[in-house]
Amino acid sequence: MPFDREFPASTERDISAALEPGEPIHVRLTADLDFDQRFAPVRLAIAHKHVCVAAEARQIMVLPIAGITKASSDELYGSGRLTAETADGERVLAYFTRHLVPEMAAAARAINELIAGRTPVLPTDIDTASCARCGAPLAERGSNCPLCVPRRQILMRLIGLLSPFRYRAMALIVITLFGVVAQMLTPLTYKQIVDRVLTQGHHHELALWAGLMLAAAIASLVFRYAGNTLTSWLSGRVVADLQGRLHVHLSRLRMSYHGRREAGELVGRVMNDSMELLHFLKDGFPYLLVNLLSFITIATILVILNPTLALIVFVPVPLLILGGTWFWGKLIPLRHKRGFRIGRLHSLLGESIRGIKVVKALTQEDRRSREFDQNNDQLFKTTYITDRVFSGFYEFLALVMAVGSVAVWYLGPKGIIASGGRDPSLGDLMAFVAYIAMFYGPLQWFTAVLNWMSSAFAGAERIFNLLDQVPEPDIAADSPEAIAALPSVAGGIEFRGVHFSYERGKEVLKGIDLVVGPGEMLGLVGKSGAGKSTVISLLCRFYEPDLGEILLDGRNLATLPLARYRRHVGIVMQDPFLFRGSVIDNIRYGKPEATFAEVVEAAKAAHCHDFILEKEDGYDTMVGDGGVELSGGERQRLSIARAIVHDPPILILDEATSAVDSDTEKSIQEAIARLVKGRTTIAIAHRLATLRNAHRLVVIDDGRVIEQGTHDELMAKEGGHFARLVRLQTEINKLKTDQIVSIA
Amino acid sequence: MPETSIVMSRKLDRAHAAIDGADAVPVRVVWARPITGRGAEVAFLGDAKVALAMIPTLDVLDPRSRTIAQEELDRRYCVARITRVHSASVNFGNRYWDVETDRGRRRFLFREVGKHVTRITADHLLIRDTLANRFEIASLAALDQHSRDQVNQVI
Repeated sequence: MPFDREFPASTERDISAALEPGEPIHVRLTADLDFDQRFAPVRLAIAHKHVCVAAEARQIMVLPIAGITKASSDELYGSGRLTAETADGERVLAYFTRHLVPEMAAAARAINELIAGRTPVLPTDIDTASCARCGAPLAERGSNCPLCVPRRQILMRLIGLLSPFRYRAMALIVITLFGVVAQMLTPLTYKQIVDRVLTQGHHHELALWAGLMLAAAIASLVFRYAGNTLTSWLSGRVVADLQGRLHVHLSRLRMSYHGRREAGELVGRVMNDSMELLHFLKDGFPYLLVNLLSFITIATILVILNPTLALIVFVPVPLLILGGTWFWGKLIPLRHKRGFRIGRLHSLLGESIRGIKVVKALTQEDRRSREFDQNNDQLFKTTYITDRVFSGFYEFLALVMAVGSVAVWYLGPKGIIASGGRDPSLGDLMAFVAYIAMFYGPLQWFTAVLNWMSSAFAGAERIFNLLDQVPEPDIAADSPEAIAALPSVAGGIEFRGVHFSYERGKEVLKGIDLVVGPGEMLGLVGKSGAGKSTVISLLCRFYEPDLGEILLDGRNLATLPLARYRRHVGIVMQDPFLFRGSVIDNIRYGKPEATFAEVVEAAKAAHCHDFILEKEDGYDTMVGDGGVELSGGERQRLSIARAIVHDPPILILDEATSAVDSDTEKSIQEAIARLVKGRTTIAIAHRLATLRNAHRLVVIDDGRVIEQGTHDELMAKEGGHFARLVRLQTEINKLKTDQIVSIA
Repeated sequence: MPETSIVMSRKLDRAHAAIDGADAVPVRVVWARPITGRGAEVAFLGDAKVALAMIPTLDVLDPRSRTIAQEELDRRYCVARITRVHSASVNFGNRYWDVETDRGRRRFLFREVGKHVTRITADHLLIRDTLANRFEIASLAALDQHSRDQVNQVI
């Protein structure tokens, strides 16, 4: 809970003393910067009639709510401040770090509610920016703290992914075990051949031991092959399923989740993190499993063969582990640096090629080259240092292992001589020598694989974090419950006191009230950033209002089944998105069962039938990513055809004609005129003349409705906002025309 | 840059500026180049998101106006200067920092070096954490060895 329940006793006492007896405190919040902007707590209490601020080094500040005209929370550079406007000027109530932006926005709103005579209601859905358990900062508000998620838990979830394939997974473990046993047999056969066949003279056993050696080698090979094949299948299957789940889940997450993230970040999570996980599951995990089993088995065999010699072999082990930890501690940051520098070089090269015209036009070739060389040189140095450290690490390990081998070769024969070849025997020594390489070898990579595991687990944690995000609550559009809840839509829309902010503290809609009747066309007008597109986003239920409600045919939109509702809404956007596929598939994207005749009818109505047939592949023309390039007007008309096929009772036109020339606009306008007939339509248009056909116009400014009426009513309004906008646009158009005439 | 006369005053905590003899209006005082030119050009922004004036340096102001402008800048730009790095580590892809700064001790994190670290020079680093809190290492060389080692672990 981001708000405090209680302050320390002395602060509570001081604040109570400053308030009227029995005056309730609605909000208690601790700011994390003092008035000198040092990291120190400052307590803020918003009571019914007063705001109190208690900083350690200051006297308590008390402001009567009645003396405040407005409270606001502003973001500064690396911090923020809560201020109160009074008749005497502005008073800073608190400074805070960016951790507290949503909380302080809620505090400002609470003060404003009290000014308006209402009791404030604190939001309960503010996600904190620090882990409630360990206090560590979080990568995203409300996300899991990776430091507090036990690795065991991640491992268990990973193992849980294997549950549909548990028999294969169990088979893999058995195969791995057999493979390790088969591998361990070979040095033992050396011992038997040396001790029994050569030393003790059981010559007839030679074929037996050689055969066993061959069988062990073949078994080891077969088990390894089977294990690798099974691992590839399992890891590939698990990751493919995971990617599928991620894709489905992403499409069901709220727009507020997508709005906060770049597409690249999410693509990275689906592809890079899962591929990192795949590589670890395919190569790293088997390595750990096989080598851990081998390590334990060999250690046991060595102790059984000769405990003294085994001890000598074990002596370098801590050195190898410590050395490995130290070296990898150095190497991993270097590898990160190298990765970063390679990325920087890629981006520089990409920029140089993409921006070649600008570089040439401004004759900046030498500067670009210098910049590239500088970065290239840094990459060279980092790569050189990385390789040098790596070589040093490798040679260090080789030295430690050599010392271990030399010790065995020195002390082993000494023992043989002293015991007359009984303990250890010559065979023991041979087996020891063979086992040493198998024993030391994996140790050098253990730390690296553990680090690899850590990085794969980081990816897994991010994947699970995404999967744990709550999707939009919904039921299938065609389910009986959905149909029962929303059998049909007449198209009456009402916004009642709707407030909304994408980021808490930055309110975009500040109490929108508007009504649209069924079949009515409403034009939304206003400057960029006034809040028009936000109104539409809320109507599409991409986001939910912070306050107020939106009604559809008199029912709260938030209570209606989402997918079922969206079936009844069509949208034509400024920059329509076409999916990779044929023209026909794109037109019937919202209604895949539409017949070809329906598609053609829609295409004709949207004025795109002719240009489609002009294309070599007609309705089969591939469009979208990697497809045929279409002009803005062509794509726009395709999206109108898509909306016609979808046939929704509510239609949204978001700057549908802003990106096209006048001729194209005329044909799009005609298409739109057919499309809007009989539908509730909300249209945003940059060119105000295009809204002439709207039944009513609503002018929005700074998140509020400031004017509404018919086109003629608004034009006739003395000093009206809309009339001024139209005049301004007419003048600009005239200027443009004059310019064209003078150029001609 | 044309010469502008600016006289600053305060109404409680809010700075006002009378520009070229006009009535004093509430202003926000900002650096024109907050990363590469702190200490240089200063701009005065009005409430309607309009740049009212820009001066080459605070030195052109009278002493009282300079004090007010400097206070405004100090309040607006909250950049904690790192004096010691207790620990810095990469964990689960996040770069966790626990640092001592001129404003007190703080823990923060960011993910990508390229996105969150700006090198003013090889020795002078600006860091923006995931929430856009700002930190600065004014001189890497001036930090103690332990701090430098920690920085090297993550950047």
